[in-house]
Amino acid sequence: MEEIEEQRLRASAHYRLLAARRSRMAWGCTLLLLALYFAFDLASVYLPELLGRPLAPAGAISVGVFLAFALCVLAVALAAWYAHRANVDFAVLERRIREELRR
Amino acid sequence: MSAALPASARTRALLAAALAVAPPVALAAGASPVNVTAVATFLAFVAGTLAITWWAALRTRSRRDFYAAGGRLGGMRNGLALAGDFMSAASFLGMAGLTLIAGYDAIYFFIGLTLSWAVILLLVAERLRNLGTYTFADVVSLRLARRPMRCLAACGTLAVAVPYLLAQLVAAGTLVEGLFGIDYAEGVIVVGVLMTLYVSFGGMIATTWVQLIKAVLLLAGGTLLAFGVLASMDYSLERLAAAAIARHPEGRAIMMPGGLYRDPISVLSLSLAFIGGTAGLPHILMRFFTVPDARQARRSAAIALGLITCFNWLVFVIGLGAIVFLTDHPQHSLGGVRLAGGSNMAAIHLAQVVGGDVFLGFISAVAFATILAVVSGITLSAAATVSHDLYANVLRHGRSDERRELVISRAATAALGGVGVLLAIVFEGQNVAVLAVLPLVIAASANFPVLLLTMYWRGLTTRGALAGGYAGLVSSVVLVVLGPHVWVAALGFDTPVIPYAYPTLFSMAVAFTGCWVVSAADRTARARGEVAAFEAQLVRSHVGPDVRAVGT
Repeated sequence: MEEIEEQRLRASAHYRLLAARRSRMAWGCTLLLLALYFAFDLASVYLPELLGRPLAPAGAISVGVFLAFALCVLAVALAAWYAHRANVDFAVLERRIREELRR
Repeated sequence: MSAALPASARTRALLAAALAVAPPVALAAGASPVNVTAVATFLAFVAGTLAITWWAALRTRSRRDFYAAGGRLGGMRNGLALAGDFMSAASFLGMAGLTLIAGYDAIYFFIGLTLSWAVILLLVAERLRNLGTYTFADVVSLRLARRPMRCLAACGTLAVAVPYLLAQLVAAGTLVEGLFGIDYAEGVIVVGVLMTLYVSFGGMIATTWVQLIKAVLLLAGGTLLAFGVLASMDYSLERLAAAAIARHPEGRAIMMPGGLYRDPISVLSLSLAFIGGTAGLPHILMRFFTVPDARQARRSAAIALGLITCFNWLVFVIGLGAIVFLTDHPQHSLGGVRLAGGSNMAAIHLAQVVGGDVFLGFISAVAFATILAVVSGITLSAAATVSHDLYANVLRHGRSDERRELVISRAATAALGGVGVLLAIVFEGQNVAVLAVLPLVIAASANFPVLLLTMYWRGLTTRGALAGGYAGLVSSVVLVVLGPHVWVAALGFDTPVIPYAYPTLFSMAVAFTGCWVVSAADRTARARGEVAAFEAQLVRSHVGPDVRAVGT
C-alpha cells in the first residue's frame, strides 16, 4: 500500500514541483545567510580596524555592530518570507497532492 | 494501552517535601544578609511552577503524552516553548556577562543563535516533522540499520546533554549563591533535586507549560531591564554605547573585534558550533514532534527565531548597561569589570542597581525558573533516549512495556541529575555562555552531520553514518576536553593541549568526511538497499502523514 502510494507520488507533477520549490527556496536562503555570516567572521578577524570604526563620524556604535544587527534583521525577514511563501504555495500543492491520492 | 503515572498522592507528598526543604536552606545563610524580597519572589515562583507540574502530571496518560505532549500543540505555543527551551540562563546571564567583559565579541554569539534558527527553519523543521515520531533517533534510523543507529543517536544525545546540564547548573549555583548567601555547591544540589522531581512527574506536557510561562517571563524581564537601562540614557543607543566606552577599562576597544578571539579558527569554529549544534540538539529536535504537521513546525521555528533574535539584542543592551552601571561599582565590582560572583552575575547585579530589590527578586526568580525549565527539557530528552532508544529498542529489541520504560526513564533522570551536579561543582566560576557552546560543538560534530546527510544525501549508508558519527563524537569530546575551557579552566593544567577554544572546524570536518568516505566505499548488499530506500524517505519528508492520511 505504502509503495504504491509512494510511486504515485513520485510520478505526480505536483509532488515534483513541491519538492523542487522547497529545496530551492530553503537552500538559497541558507547559503546566502551562511555566506554573509562567514564573511562577517573573517572580516572581524582580518579587518578589525574597519569593523571597529564608528558608524557616524565621532560616534560610539561601530560599523561591525551595525552590520551584525543588520544580518540578524535579514535572517528574521528571510525566515518570515519563507514561512509565508511556504504556507501559501506549499499548501496549494499539498491540497492538489491530496486530491490526486484520493482519486 | 495506557500506563498511568504513579498515584497523585505520592507526587503531592514529594512536592511538598521539596518545598519544605527550600526555606531552611535559605534561612541557614547566616553570615551574609538574606534579601527578603528576592527570596519571597523566588519561593513563590518555584511553588507556582511545581504546582503546574503536579497539575500536568495528573493529566499525563500515555507514553505519547509523556514524551511529545500528545502531538497536539499549536505552532504559536510550540514556538514560545522552543524559544523558552533555548533562551537559557546561558543566553541571558552568560551573554550579558560576555558583553560586559568583551563587548564586540559577544556579537558572534548573537548572530550565531539567530542564524542557527534560520537553518533549523529552512532545512530541518518541516522534513523532521514529516518523518519522525518521538525522537531524532527515530529519524536517523528510518532507512539505516535500526539498532546501531539508535545506539549512535543515544550516545550523541547523552554526550550533548551532560555538558549542557553542566552549564545550566553552574549558572544556577552562582545565582543561588548570590541570592541566598548559601554555598555554591548547596545551590547546585537544590537545583539538581528540583529538576529531577520536575521531569519525573510532569513529562513533556509539564515542561512545555513551564517553558511557555518562562519564555514570557524571561522576555518580559529582559525587556524591562533593557528599557530601564535605556531610560537612563534618554532612549538613545548611541548615548548608551558612548557611556559604555567611557566607563569600560578597555575604552573604545569594546566596539572592536578581538576582546575574546583573535584567530580565525576559533571564530569560525564558534559559528559552526552554533549553526550545526543547535540543529543537532536532541531536546530541540524533539519539540518538532509536539506539533501536528509540517506547517505548524515551520510556524513554530519562525516564531522562535523572531523571539530569540529580539531577546539577544535586548541582552546586548543589558550588557552595555552593565558596563555603564557596574564598572567600579562599590558593592558589586571587585575592580573594573570584574564582578562579585563572576561575569554571570552581570544582569542580576544590574537589576538591583537599575530597579532596586523588588526588581532584583523578580529577575533572579525568572533566571532561576529559566534554568530549572531548560535543565528539565534536556534531562527529559536524555531520559527518553535511555529508556526509549537504548533500553526499549537496543537492549530489548522493541519488546518492552510502557511501564518499564517509564521506570527506566525516571532512574536515568536521577542519574543525570547526579552527574550534572558533580560536574557543575568542578566547573564553578566559568562564564556560562562560553560553557554552553561546548555541547553545541559536540552536537554539531556527532548529531548534525548524520541527521543532515540521512535527510539530504542518498548515498549515506549505515556504515558511513556510524563511522562519521562516532568519529565526530569522539574527536569533538576529546578536543573539547584538551582545550582551554576544560583542560586549563576546570582541570587546572597550565596550558591547553589544543589552543583553540572550540574545535568544531576540525571535528565537524572529520564527521562529514567519515560519513562520505566510508559510505562511498561501502559495497555491501545492505548498503545498496539503504541507498535505494532514500527515494521513499525523500517522498515522506516532503509529503507528511497529514497529507497522505486522507489518500489511504
